[in-house]
Amino acid sequence: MKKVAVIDYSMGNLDSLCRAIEKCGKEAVRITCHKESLREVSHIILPGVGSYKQAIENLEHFGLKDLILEAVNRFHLPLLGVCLGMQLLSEVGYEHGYSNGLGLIPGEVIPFNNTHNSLRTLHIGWNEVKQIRKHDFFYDIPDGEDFYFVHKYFFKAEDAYILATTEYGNTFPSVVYKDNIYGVQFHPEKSQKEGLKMIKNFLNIVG
Amino acid sequence: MLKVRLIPILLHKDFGLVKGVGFDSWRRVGSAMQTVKIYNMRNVDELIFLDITATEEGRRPDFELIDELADECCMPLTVGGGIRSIEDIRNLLLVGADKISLNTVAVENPSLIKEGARYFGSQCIVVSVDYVLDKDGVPKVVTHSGKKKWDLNLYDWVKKVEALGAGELLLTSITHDGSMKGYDLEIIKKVSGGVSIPVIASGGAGTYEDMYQVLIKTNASAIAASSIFYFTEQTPNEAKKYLYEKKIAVRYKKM
Repeated sequence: MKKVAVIDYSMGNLDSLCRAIEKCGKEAVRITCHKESLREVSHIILPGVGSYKQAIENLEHFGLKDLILEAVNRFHLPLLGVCLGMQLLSEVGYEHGYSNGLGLIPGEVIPFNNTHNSLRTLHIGWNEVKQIRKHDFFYDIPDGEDFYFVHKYFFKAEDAYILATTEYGNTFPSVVYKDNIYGVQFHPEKSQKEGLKMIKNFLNIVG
Repeated sequence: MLKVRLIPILLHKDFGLVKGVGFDSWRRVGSAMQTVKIYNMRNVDELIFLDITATEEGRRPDFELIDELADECCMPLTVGGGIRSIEDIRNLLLVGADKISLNTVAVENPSLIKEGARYFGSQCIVVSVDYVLDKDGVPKVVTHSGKKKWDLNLYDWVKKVEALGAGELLLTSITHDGSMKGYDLEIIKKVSGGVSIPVIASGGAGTYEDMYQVLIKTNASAIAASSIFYFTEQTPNEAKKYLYEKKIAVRYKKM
């Protein structure tokens, strides 16, 4: 049986994610550098907590950026970016200065601007994910279900690549997609039952 | 819209969990693992786990225990107590904490807040601030689990903490803690009105109405509570039901 690769670039804890993958009946394997083989892999998950700039630097340093691009462009493996991992799918991010992302889904990562209202500068907590399009990614997940968010920046993507939105001051994309690449701004591995369903749905997508 | 969060606090001392009144008169309330398992089934939004004697005893956090609890815990987990360095933060995040909480060390070495935010992101840095009123009624910061008073104005301190990059504030009134007579609404309102980061209000919950009062009278983003769930028949989900029926945006599920 093929495995699920979880990209480990020293940013964030992977335990919850690996446990969630195992609960879905699959085996997780941590990929830490470009020398690792993707031969036995059916899906890739790119997690992440921290800053965009640091993340891209780490991915490049360990040769993981090339590995991800090859997996997607050459082997057409389904890819799921989680939280910062979703943001890294973009073309550019503005956290701590300008950085180029993986460029897999058009758009940029910018901070929330809620100075005109009483909302807090960080979006932390449970919020509704409104499904914009019908998709197997949402199979058995009710529209408007709460998922757990914790971030300060968001991925401003074009409508064509948005699968779900969430309200925080403005409406922002909480799920993006392009071909076999998916990105979720929230943490499905922290979002209990519905989060687990979503990971399972992703793992059922065939490359 | 973003929901208000209900967050139980677990205080760890020696070999198990405790709860006190005014940071004193500690009573044993069960094992950490058992309590985590119970809360897993109680529809709480997050958990905060604090080792309240680590700093006093000059200990590092108990990474092994946190690893086990994090494995079991199926909601976001914030861990604090005894953190002194970037390495401590890194190791806690590596064993499964989603966020870490800095209290005493934040006052003794504020640059750790800034460094922690830079390396790991503001979103995982919670600064926990305990306070009492001085003889003139001015709230002042206290560290070392209530044992060391500083001549540090609470309002100045929370603004500084925010400027240094903290992602959230856990604000605890020592006087109200464990009293179950209601939260310190006036100060929570001033603090949450004076910063732009989320404030988790702690200290004093005795009834569901106490929680409701915080949410309508202040800008707190989350309610932390402890005694109410240990010493009364009240439950987190019933609390959420109460708030939901009073039109507060909470993650409520009929159970």
